[in-house]
Amino acid sequence: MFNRSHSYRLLRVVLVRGLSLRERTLVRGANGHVRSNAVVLSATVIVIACITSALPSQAEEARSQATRETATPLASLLQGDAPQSLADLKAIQTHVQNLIQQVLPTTVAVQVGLAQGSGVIISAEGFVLTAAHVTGEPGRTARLVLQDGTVVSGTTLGVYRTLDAGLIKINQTQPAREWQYATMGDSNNVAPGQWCLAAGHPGGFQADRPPVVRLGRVLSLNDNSTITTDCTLIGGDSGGPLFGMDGKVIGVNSRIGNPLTVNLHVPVNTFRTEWDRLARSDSWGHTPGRDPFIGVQGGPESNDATIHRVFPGTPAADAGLKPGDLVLRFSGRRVADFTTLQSYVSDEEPGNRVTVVIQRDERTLELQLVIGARNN
Amino acid sequence: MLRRRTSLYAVAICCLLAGNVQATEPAASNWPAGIRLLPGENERSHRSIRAAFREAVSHANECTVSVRSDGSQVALGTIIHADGYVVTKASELPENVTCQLSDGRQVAAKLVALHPDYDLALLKVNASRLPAIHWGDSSQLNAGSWLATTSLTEEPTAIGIVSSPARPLPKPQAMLGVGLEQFGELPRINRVIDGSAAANAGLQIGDVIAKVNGQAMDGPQTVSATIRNLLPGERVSLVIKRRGRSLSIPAILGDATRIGNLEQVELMESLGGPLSQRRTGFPYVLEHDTVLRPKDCGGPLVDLDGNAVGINIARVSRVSSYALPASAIKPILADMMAGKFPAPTNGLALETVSAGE
Repeated sequence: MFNRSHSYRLLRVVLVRGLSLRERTLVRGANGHVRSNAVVLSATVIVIACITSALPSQAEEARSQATRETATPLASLLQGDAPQSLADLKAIQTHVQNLIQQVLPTTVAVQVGLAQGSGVIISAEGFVLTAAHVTGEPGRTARLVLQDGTVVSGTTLGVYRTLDAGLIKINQTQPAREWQYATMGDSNNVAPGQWCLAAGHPGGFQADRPPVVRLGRVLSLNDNSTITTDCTLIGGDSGGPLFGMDGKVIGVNSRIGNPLTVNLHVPVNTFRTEWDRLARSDSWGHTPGRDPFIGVQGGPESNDATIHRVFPGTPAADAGLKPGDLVLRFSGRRVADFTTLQSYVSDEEPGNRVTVVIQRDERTLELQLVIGARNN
Repeated sequence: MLRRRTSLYAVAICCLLAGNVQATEPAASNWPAGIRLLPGENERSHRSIRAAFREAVSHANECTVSVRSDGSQVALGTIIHADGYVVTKASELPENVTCQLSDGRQVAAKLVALHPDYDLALLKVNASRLPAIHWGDSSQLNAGSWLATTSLTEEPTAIGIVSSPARPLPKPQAMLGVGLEQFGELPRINRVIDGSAAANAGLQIGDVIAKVNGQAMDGPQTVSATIRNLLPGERVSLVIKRRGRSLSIPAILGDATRIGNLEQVELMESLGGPLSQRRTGFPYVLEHDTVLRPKDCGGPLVDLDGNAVGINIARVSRVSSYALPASAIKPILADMMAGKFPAPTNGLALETVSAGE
């Protein structure tokens, strides 16, 4: 599954065989694993749209919109009511065109190392939401290209890999600049059927091409961990914004599945909930579908982090860990017991190099270990 | 029925990075091209939404033709003149085609002009007093404008919006992905870029490139000049001298604007459906997010006023289709009708078939 790809640290495909989103929904549990859930989505049912006339109060509202002769109010169209006429389509079009003018300048191209993605500025001082797999880890230099072509540099802050949330801060400029920004919305208010707009730099940044927009609708919400839309996404869109029809950011582009209807976005409330950790450059969780592991087992009844068994051919064996070793510190953090060790391992990303301090007999040793990946 | 079909598909979830390109098992790309599921109730392309476009496409769908060969559609076409002139996508055409009109007639077609840069073919069909397309102003088209790709029926084939206003496309640049140094009278490789065409072909540091496509190389400049004249995706044959042996090695050139393996890029781009064979090198394009099949190209792309703002010319990737903007091609179509770009006599020899067949 990860063939041909060892040179790409960020390269990842999770293949969920025989699973269709029409029949089942992908949800992610608290441990971050993608698992299948045999919930039948309402989308399976093909509904023949009924042509309903507007309620009296809505009709009044519609009449007040002097430029339109439609029966459907704009607000309910944007919530997902089917447009009934050319006038309805024109109303949506005018709204979307204005929205794009207003929010597109907040979408940026992001380059961190060899990875190219997108991002969205969400504050005047220059905080940029993006995907964790774009920034990789805290403290790296990011090159950002604004819509007008201005290139600015930034620094990557926290990464929450499990839900793919990453944060960048544009470096202070002289004189200090105020950045045009988009507001974060509330992804709890997002509902299937609502129109939405994804932006980003598909295929990577191209001179003379502003951020590319796609219009679609929200298809499903999975356990607060992803928003699925039919705004088609591809490489380079990662980290770019998903806007609601009020122009607020409701999600951040993250991953795709094979069907054109499987475009997954990180709900913006993830950034709200985890803001403090992201802003202080914490790095936690791991990419779903690729579990970090080191290959050791604890003692059945021990209450410290003594290694009971080291499996051959695993990162632990490669690092020289042996049965009987007592783990004192893992990646700079004190290890109280085997459960703590497990949780520290699960916060690492496969490929990370960590220092493990152990006690063997009377000696304290420092071992270097490369976190392995267990595909699931 | 729906359940049985959908279970055919494997769902691949990929991270979306450019540059760091995703590899995936071939199974994930085996999207059955012929099967199209009905869009769900909440999808943008649901029937109820396409139905709202009927009024907008009511004239343009009469100016749309289905270009057919052996009983199936190979492209759509656009009637640009009442005397039976139809423009379509040249590279999709086999030798013999007929055109089906919106009134159901199947008429003979003859290739009269070809414009390779824009990939446009002008056909003359055996019919007259046809409705001709009304052109719109593509230069006034903002991102977010609705677009409809017409069909021969009252509803559009597909809908979308302008993703990025009309712009010139940069010329694609091929890349082998090696660093070279002068070694006597020959170029020698001193660096191989990971994931490049050279790496995929198995080229190694220390290899000497003696020939590219049969042409002898005398230094790094000759190699880059030769590669520059080729296109990404083209296959080159290299003669390599390695440790006293002479090896013949083929390589598929990469795209200099992308890092990584072109095959892998293409695999990811085609997630969700097939792409047009010819999808680069157009001088000027309008990028839109309509989901087209390759055989939906060649027809009109209309705005909400029913005017053609472009001709669909390629399904480019999972996220985009290209149209040739009306403002860019109107003068070219006039030139084609005036005989400035005659079809090669030995090229696509379109055979005349009897009307009504």
